[in-house]
Amino acid sequence: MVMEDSNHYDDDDEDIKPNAKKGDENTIKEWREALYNSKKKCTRGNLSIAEWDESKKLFKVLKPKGKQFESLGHSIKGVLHLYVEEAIYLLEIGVVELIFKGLPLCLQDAYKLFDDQFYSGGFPFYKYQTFLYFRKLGFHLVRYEDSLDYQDDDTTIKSSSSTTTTTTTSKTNNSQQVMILEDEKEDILKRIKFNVGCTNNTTTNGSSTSTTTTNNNNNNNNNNNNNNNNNNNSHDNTDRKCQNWWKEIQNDHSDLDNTNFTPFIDMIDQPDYSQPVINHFQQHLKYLSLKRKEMDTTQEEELKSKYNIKILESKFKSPILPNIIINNNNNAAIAGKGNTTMTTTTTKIERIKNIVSPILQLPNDLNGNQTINSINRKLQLTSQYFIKHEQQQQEQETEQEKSLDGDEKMNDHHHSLSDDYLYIDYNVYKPKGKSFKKSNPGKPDFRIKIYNNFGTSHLVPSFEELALIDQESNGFDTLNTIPLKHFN
Amino acid sequence: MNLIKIYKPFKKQQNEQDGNHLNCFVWDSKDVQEIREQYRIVGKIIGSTQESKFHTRILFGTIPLLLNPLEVLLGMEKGWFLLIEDELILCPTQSDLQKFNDKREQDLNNQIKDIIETKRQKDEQFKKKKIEEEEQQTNQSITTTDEGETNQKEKENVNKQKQGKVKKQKKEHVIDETNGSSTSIITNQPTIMTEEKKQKQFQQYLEGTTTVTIYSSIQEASDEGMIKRPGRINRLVGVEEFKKMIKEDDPTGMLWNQYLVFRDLWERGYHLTMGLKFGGTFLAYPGDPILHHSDFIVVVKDFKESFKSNDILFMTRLAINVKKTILLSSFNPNTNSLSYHSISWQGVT
Repeated sequence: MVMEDSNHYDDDDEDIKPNAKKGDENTIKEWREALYNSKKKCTRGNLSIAEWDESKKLFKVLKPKGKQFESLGHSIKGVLHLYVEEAIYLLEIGVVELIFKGLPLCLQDAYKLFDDQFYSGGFPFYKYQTFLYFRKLGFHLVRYEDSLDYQDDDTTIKSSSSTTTTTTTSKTNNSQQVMILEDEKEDILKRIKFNVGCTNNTTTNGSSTSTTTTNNNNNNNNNNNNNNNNNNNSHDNTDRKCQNWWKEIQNDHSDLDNTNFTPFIDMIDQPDYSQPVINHFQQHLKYLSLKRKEMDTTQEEELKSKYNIKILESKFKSPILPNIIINNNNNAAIAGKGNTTMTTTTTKIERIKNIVSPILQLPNDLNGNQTINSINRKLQLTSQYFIKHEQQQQEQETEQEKSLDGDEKMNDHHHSLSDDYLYIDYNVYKPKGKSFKKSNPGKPDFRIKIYNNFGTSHLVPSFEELALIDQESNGFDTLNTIPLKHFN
Repeated sequence: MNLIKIYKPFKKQQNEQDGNHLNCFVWDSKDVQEIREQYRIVGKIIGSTQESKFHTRILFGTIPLLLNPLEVLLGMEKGWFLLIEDELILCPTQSDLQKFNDKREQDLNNQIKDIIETKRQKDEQFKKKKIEEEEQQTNQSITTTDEGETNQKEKENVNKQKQGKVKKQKKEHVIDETNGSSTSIITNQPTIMTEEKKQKQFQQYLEGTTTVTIYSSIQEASDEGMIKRPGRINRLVGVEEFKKMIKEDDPTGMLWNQYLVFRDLWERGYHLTMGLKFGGTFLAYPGDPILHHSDFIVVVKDFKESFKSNDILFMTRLAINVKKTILLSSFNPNTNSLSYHSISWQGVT
């Protein structure tokens, strides 16, 4: 290593002169072309209109148009609202007209909304910059605070729960047949929860089916209360621990692409696991099975040959639900165990020979729009944060009580994540084509915390603080059924 | 020489020490080009264009240009910039609203006229083409007798159809006459309604195809006379005031040191950007950053600041891997001059 003293800097221009190349003029031309292309035009048919709501400090969407609203905005009492950063992002793209006190805003005026004087408790500009950057790259960003209490506030889910109650009545009439209408199909698909274990009840009595239906309603209202409720309601299932085999599939896509993939089940007892219960999953399977019967004559043979699937008939021929288990040499015994616990299996699909095409494509063949990812999301294997949220609330309440008692020093020692310093800003979802829906986003791919002047003025958070953030961002995963790797 | 207007939209928040409010924006494309090409100040282009070919390239964009406080201060000291602290006036007057609405309507009507005219022209061209084709066909039919017979048959068919239509119309008339005037009005009404509906639908369709321009700067909007908010209060900020603002946010004096280094390197002919990418304070480019790789990672330190040998190792090791050299720099208060040390790592292949 050599240190040079260059205090007397040479003023030779040769070092500094740019080396002109052939392609340079073109890039500069393009740069200028982009620079002068500042006006945005939008046809009146595609233009959406939003108006500033002074009381809420939000933009109220009067006329939503276009694909952008699939991943932007949130509804308050049935009316779509946009945050400031979302609205200005849309303005920047040139898709929306933001009306402010009667006149539409131009971008220069709109930037003024980031000013704290005007918009108290506002959204700082540097956060908007990162938001814009990620959005331009195609990522979907959901405010972290929204992701916590989204399921409570949304009214659409509550309204749709009433429709599912009608399905439950139809169930009781038909004693054991689960009928699903075409209209309800999508509602159910939206809210399939991965819940195993209520299958025990369905075979025993008609009355027990009613208990499961109550569980249905709970599922619709809250994601994670159902875990508690089911633990209370289901009779014998409290002791059994379940491992989720979807998880392995979700983590290693490379395995699935491989044709020699063997799904494996890890049977190590995980003491923290709570009891997952399938309710809607059953219905979904039922629906699939109905569909499969239609396909029997035409497509099933092709599917069988394509994936080398052999369908075996089991001893129990109850008409209720087929339990599809992908079976292999490694886990045949385990799957058998599963069958003994879930007595309602009629058929099971066994894959025998060398596989022709990977299982990853099977959902695509069964239903055109589905992929493994979309199914995982619909199952909501991983988005169970309600319990954590409740605990937080409790903690906050206790903290408030403490502060009321006058122990302010306790609060100083205890880091609360409401500090802006440690607060997570966004859940970020990778651009995956059409599979993202804001009503049911599922597990975020990663989360971001935006710092200003990173590296110059801010210190990097310490390990203790990082652990707090980790606990906040990943805590719900460790608390609930499925343990996940830390996605950093 | 015209002064370049730069705008400072944000005011200082309470307890803020980030210097976030010191960022300024340039809202004119010409000015951005001038700043970049004449004054060698890079800044950061934030706005996005609507043209899809630029979407994948991050470096290409439109106004606004974001200038950090150092760049602003340099331009102010050199006397290029006019710093404006602008404020948004909230309520437009009713006359403004009316003007805007009238302009919008005019714009809409003009666009619809244009669309209709272009359609007419296209139709006329199409008709001309058809006529020419028919003429060609008739010429061919005269030459060949067999085709002529078929043409005659076709013509007869067309004539029959026309006659049928005429008969139907006559029948309707007959019914009207027999029933009297009152019923005829009723029968006529729905046809009129459908025409009105068709017109309405056509109007809606036409309006849907018209475009609305979304302006990015106030200047653009007011040039075309579309959006004007009255009574904007613009306050000019002088150099000394801006220096004060910087020093308020800079208790340690680090930002001021950075500025001194920034100005010196700029005067030596470099293009400078912020060096966050490589863990330094600046990156020094020999030419325009679009065309060149940077030569130096500039790290500004306080004159009395000591740092660990490990730090030097990190810096140089990183720099040699990206084909740059580390330039440690600081302001010497004893001699009132800047001192530089460049460190290079030898023995790395």
